[in-house]
Formats: sequence, structure tokens, C-alpha cells
Amino acid sequence: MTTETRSKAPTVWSNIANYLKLVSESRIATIGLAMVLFWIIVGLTSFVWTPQDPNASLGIPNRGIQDGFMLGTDRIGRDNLSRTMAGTQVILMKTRIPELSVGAYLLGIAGISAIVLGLVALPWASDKRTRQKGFIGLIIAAVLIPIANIIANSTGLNDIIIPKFAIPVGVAIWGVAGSLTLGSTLGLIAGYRGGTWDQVIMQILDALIAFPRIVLYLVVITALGQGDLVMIFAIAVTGAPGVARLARSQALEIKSRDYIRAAETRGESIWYIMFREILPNAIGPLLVDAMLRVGYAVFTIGTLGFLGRGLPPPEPDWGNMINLARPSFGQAPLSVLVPAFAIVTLVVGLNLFADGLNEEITRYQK
Amino acid sequence: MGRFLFRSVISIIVTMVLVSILLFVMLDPRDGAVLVKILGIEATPEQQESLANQLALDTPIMTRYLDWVIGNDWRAERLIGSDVVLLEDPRTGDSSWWIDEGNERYIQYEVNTDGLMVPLVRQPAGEYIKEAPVDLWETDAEGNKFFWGLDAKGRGALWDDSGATEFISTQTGWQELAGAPVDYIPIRKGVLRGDAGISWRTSRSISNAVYLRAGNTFKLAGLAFVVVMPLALLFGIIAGINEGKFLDRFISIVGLIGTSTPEFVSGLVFILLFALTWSLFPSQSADLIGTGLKPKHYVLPVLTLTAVELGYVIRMTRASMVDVMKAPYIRTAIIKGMPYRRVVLRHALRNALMAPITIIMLHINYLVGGIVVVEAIFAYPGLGDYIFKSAVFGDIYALAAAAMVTVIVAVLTRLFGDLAYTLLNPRIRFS
Repeated sequence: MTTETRSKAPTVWSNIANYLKLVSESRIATIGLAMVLFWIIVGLTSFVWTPQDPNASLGIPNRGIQDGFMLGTDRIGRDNLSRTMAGTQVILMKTRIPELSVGAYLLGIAGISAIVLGLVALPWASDKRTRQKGFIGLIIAAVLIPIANIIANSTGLNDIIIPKFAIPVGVAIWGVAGSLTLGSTLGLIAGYRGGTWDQVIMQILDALIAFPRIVLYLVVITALGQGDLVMIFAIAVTGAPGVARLARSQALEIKSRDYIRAAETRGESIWYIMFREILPNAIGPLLVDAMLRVGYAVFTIGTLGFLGRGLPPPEPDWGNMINLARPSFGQAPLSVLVPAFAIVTLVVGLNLFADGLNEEITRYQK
Repeated sequence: MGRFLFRSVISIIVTMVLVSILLFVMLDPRDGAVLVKILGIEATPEQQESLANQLALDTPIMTRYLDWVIGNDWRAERLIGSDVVLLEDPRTGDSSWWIDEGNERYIQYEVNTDGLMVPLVRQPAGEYIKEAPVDLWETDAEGNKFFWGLDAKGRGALWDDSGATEFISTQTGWQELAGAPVDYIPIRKGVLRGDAGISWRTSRSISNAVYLRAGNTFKLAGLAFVVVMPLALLFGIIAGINEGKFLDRFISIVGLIGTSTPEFVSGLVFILLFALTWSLFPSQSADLIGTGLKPKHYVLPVLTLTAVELGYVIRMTRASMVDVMKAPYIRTAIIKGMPYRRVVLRHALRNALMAPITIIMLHINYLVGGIVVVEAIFAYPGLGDYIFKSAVFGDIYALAAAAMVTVIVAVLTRLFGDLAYTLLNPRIRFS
């Protein structure tokens, strides 16, 4: 090995790229990827073209296959095919930010900053050398939201309304990204630090993991109301404990390796060790887990949509489509079966992708 | 072993405390949304304020949390100055609080238009008779008249001579009532003593409903468990010993599709086939609390749960079986000429079943979650249905209490899983 290659330590991204290269070697993973890509292409297409307007009642209600409506119409005469195509958008393609006041934005930004600052400060606080810095960070994180609240209420910011708009990438993906960020940071601290940090963090996460998933979703949605952002929050919170457990077990295994000892002896910061030494080596299982989690998220968004507690209208949502078509299932089965097919194939695709990738990664490690 | 149990119990207690705080803080009604839900959108701000007072929503969250967990009957007793007891009304089966004056005499109070207290004396059949009005006013340090008692709905109530009005719900809508109390304590024993108060949605005891419905849900979950486990273990083992062959791929793919099909899709398809087309089994089991569910009501819910659960457990068993079949001692057993059947049954199976047992235990958590959806589809009167309806209404105390039950089930099954694993695995048992 030359010195040049040694100086290039693997990073999280280079390792993810390496693992993704394995996909082509596994038939299962390739099939899974193809199924996922199919829905991504369908979703992208639906932005520019659908056979009919997905939100307009153009046909005769509850009819089967007919001219212009390839997969029938729903109970108010909207095209099933167009609606199912457009249903990909809210899950994978875009997140709708509702009409909110500047004050609400300020609160939201303060909340996100508080979480990020907390995640940055927590590892520092767990290290003797940077303990002071860490605790100061945690205190600042704790007062950010109250300060934002005071500013928003005392000024006229609550009256200035920003119209609604959409940001790229869908609810399921943002949610899983959130649970990865939260979960892996907490899990790495718990696993690498051990001791009291481990016990306290895992005890809090155990309280979250004890909820049946759908019950926790219902609680979060009851508390905060329906909306894309609430759904992202719910997915992130529900998924974080599982990710943390996985990251923790990986950190426990990796932390006794020689290169971690070497980094500790060099006096590297806890951040460097956690995210440049441990995380790149733990990313494989986390990546596979994240694929499965996107699948769970799609499944759960569908379930909540069916229960009438999912993503808000007017954009079509698969679960909600099935819920609306339920009373007339006998006359127009396609209105249920088409969105159901979408959910099943997307979830199966993500599962196959994850399984195949997992097989290749474990083979690669042996 | 003793230390392990002790630590587990401590951890469970801490978890439950954290969960209850989390639930309470998250569900705390910050705005008047729930008041609008109960009163309807035409309610005036005065009516909403009165209701918030009656439900004690105007007290600090800390007080409400403690009231919810450890109850507030002791607080009411101190204010009223005599014991209060919870008595069941034999006519409706609901319970109400009464002041216990001894000698089987139980009373509540009403204040009449002359500003005098009318004792309502409970009769054995559950109704009350009014006695002659009496003057029970007390005077505080500033000379204001006040009186703490129980009102006719069994709530702790503070009257003063300001003549407040209360808006009460009747058959015809919301009515104003003069001579009403100015402050209320909705008395309950607290969840620790098995009383979570009165549901806002149904106006009946939460604990009774949760108890009844949890029983129904456990029946459904138990049936599904009994159907799923043997099938899943069998198919998982068959797939595991045929790793990579057609049979394995077939079982795995069918299982994966089953797991990836949401309960509401398979449930609807089963309803279409078995209930609507062939009329074999009923599709709804609604409102059968009390009248009892017949076996035929269970068929479709159990079938739906089986479809979604089977694949998951198959997957776990298969993975574990594959791992064991690669172990050196299995290879040794095969090489030394032991019959393949004996290798699988005597050596592989025992070790392969270890991992699924803990995972199956963890999986009960997931099963309870899936049941929420299945109960909603089939209108099955279980806990999941209750959780869902309470969540839609915003009935936070009912939702929190029912969610606590699911969490307790989850934590206890995890403990049993850990115990089973410890007992079955000699390496852990003897270390």
C-alpha cells in the first residue's frame, strides 16, 4: 500500500458509494432498485404529464376501464391512474410547507437549530476536555425556543404570512433522514462513551421504542395536527430509537479496534472519532436499515392516510385514495387495487433492494 | 438472575414514568380545539371557558399530571372535610363520587335559587332524593362565603355567593344553569390506582372501557399469535434449510409480499371475497361489547393479521436457520454421516429457534400496532379501535390511558423475551 492511498481515509460518502457499487452484483438488489426507480420515474413524470388532471372530476364515477381512463375512475370521477402517479409526489418527491407566519418560521428554525446544536453539543459534553463548551451549547439549545417565542409574540412577526410552497424530496425521505441524524448521533455517543451516557440515552430511547409504532404516530398527529412537516417529525421520532440501537451496537464493536486507539492517542476530538472513524465503518448496516425504514415510512403513511390521519389534501395520497374508495369497493375495485399495487410494489422494491445489498455487504466483509 | 430482574424492573418503572410524562406533555391541549370538538363550533367563548373550568383544564399542567397519575380524591377530601367514595349506579353501571357521612348515608349537593344547599341523598337503587335545604356556608378570612362539596355529577365543586352560571350538556343541547359552582375538581383515583377518569368522548369511565376492550384485543392478538407462529416457524425452517433454492425464494417472496401489503388492503380484499361475494363470514363486528363476539367474527380479522405478520416471522426464522446451518458443528454432523433429518431436528432446530423467540416477543409490540388498523377496518370493539377513536376526537386522557396499556404490554413482553433468552441460552445462564 502506498502512502497516497493511506492518506485517503474512507469517508461516509465514499463508503456509501462503494456499497452502492455492489448493487449490480446482486440480482435481488437490482430488481429492487428497478422497482424503486420505476416509481421515482413515475413520480417525476407526474409533475409534467399525467393522462388526466389528477384532481378534476372528468369521468363518470366508479367506472372500470374505459376510454381515456385506463385504470378506471374513483367515486367522484377522477382518473385512478393519474391520481396514483401523482401520489408518488408527496411521499418521494416534494414536501409541502403550508401557509405560515414569519413568527412560526422563526419558531421552527429555532426548534431545528436547538436540535442540531443539541446534537453537536452532546458529544462535546460527554468528553472531559470539551465538557464546558458542550454544556454551554446545551444551555443555548434549551433557551433558543423560548427566546424565539418571546420575539415572535412581542413583535408583529406573527401577522406577516408567507404563502405555501413546496421543497424538493418527499416526506418519507426527509423523515428517515431525520431519524438517521438523530438516531446515529445518539447511538454513537451511547456506544462510544458507554457508562452513564449510554444508560441515560438508551433509557430515554427505550421509552420511545416501547410504543407500538402506529400508536406513537397517532399520538404525535393528535398533538400537532395533520401536515407534511408533522409527518416528517413523527417518522423521525419513531425511527430514531431503532437507528440509535443499531448505531450503538456498531460503535461498541468498532471502538475496540486499533485505528480508534490510534486516533485517541493522537488526541483527536470526539467528533472526529465518531464521525470520521466510527461512522464510515458502520455505514453499511445503517444504509440497509435506512432503505427498510423508507419502506416502513411509505407503509405507515399509507396506513395513516387510510385512517384519515395522514397527509393533508388536495394532493392525492395512496392511503387516503383507498379510504375514499372503500365504500364502493364492490363496484369499483380498481380504485382500491391501483393505489394498493403502488404501495406494495414500492415497499417490496425497497425491501428487495435492502436485502440484496445486505447480502452483498456481509459477503464482502467475510 | 436476581440482579438482572431487579435492574429490569427499575428500567421498566423509569420507562413508564418517562412515557407518561411524554404522553401528557405532548397531548396537553394548548388551544381550545378540544373544547370546540366537545361543544361544537357554535359555542360561545363563555361556554368554552365554563367547560374548561368544569374539565379543570385551567389548572397548571403539573397539577393535572399528578391528578391523572396519583388521583385527586385525597385533595378533594381535604377541601370538603369528609370522606368521598366511588359508588356504582346499578341502573347504568357507571360510577359516581359521593360524600360518605357514615351509616350508609351518601350525599351530593345542589344549590337552590335561595342560595341554600340541597343535600341529595343516595338511595340503594342508585337514584337520589332531595332533602330540605340547609345553610352550610363557611366564611373565609376576608369574609367571603364559600362551600366545598360534590355536585350532582359527583365532581368536587366550590360554590360562592357570586351566582356563577354553568353551561351543562342536556339532551337538547347546552343549557345555562344558575347557582353553579365557580371551581371544579373532576375527581379520579389516578391511573396508578386503575382510574383514569371520565372520557370526554363517551362520558363514561375510561378504565372500564379500556379494561373491556383490552380483553377483546388480547383475544384477537392471542388467536392471531396461535395461528401465525406454528405456520411461520414451519415455513421459516423449510426456507432456511433450502437456502438459495427455488422453495426458499418462493417462500421468502410470498412472505415479503404479505408483509408489504398493508392490513387495510388485505382486509378489504378479504371482505370483498369472503363477506360480499361468498357471504361466508361477517365483515363487521361492531358494537358487540356485552353481547359477546361469536367465533365467526374473528375469522377475517385473524386472517388479515396472519397475512401481514406471517412474512415477518418467516424472515426471522429463516435468517436464524441459515446461520445455524452454516455452523461448523452442523457440517461435522453431516460429514460424520448422520441422517440429514436428524441433523436438522436434533442439532439445528434447537439453536435456530433461540433468536426468533426474542424477536417474536419484541414483535408483539408490532402486532398491537397492526391491530389498531385491523380493528378500525372490521369495527372490532378492541383497544386499537378505542385508541383510534380517541385520537380522532382529541380525547387526550382516554388516548393516554389506552396508549399506556399498550406500552405496558410492550415492556412486559420484552422482559419475558429477555428472560426466555436467558433461560434458554446456557452461555448467558451460567455466566
